[in-house]
Amino acid sequence: MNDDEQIIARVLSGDADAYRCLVEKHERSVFGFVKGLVRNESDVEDLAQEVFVAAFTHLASFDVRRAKFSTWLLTIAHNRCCNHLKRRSLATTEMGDMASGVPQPDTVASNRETWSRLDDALDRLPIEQRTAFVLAEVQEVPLAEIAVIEGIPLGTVKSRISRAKERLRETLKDLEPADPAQTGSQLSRSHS
Amino acid sequence: MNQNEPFEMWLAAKRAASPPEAFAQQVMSAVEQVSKSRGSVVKPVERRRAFLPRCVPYVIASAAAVVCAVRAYSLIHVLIEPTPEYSVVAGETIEEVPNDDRDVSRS
Repeated sequence: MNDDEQIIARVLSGDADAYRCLVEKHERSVFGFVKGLVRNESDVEDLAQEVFVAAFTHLASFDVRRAKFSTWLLTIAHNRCCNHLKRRSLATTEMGDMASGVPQPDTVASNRETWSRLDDALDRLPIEQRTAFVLAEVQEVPLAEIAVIEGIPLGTVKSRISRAKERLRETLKDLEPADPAQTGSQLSRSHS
Repeated sequence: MNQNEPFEMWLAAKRAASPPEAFAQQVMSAVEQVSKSRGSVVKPVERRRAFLPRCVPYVIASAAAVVCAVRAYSLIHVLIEPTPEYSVVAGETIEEVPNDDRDVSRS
């Protein structure tokens, strides 16, 4: 029985405060995944919180033989985010976020436009490609686990990730400046 | 220009995303409210499922006790109250009929 299973056993036996250990252990993973899909900061916090509350409510139905707790948690997060994205209108949400974003330090200001374009390109991806890409490239979840989270074959996971990367790299091609030297100086400033 | 570099830096920025410091506390506050409103996390079905395996030994023991009681009653009944060889109703006795008189063949 690993640490997560021991904590789950304690929570199910009535020690609800023990759930905090699970939250602190997995909050970064869940928060990062939700933030990769949803750009509105307040929605990210709300959704991430909903994920943990839903996991607590249904903790008795978690079966350790079927998947790890982290996989189960990300499955809940995946379903919640998909439902949220289907409900929300993308245009009204994202324009507001770009205007109220956290001010970037000067060292990364030169990359702001590139990152913003990449964020937009990520948002334009089909939901299934977006979730697979975020899980694989941002959260660095093993492909086999992604297949479990999304309920799809491993080959489908790989093809979705590949297509997502291809479309994002096309965005970078569109951003290539006319003067390569200017780009090189911008990147060297960002590394200093 | 290394085309992958901005892409990798963008990925690194995304990976660095972390929740606010009070996030765990916010979650636990919400969880506490859920606990109060819904009671125990264990579902009633789960409680019943946990109860049934514990009942099996008691059921087997009860069935065995019933079987023993029935057999003991039968044994006692045989020992204490033997089956009478004749009817005692109204003092009548069943006369033993010789075998020759029991011939029921049609003549």
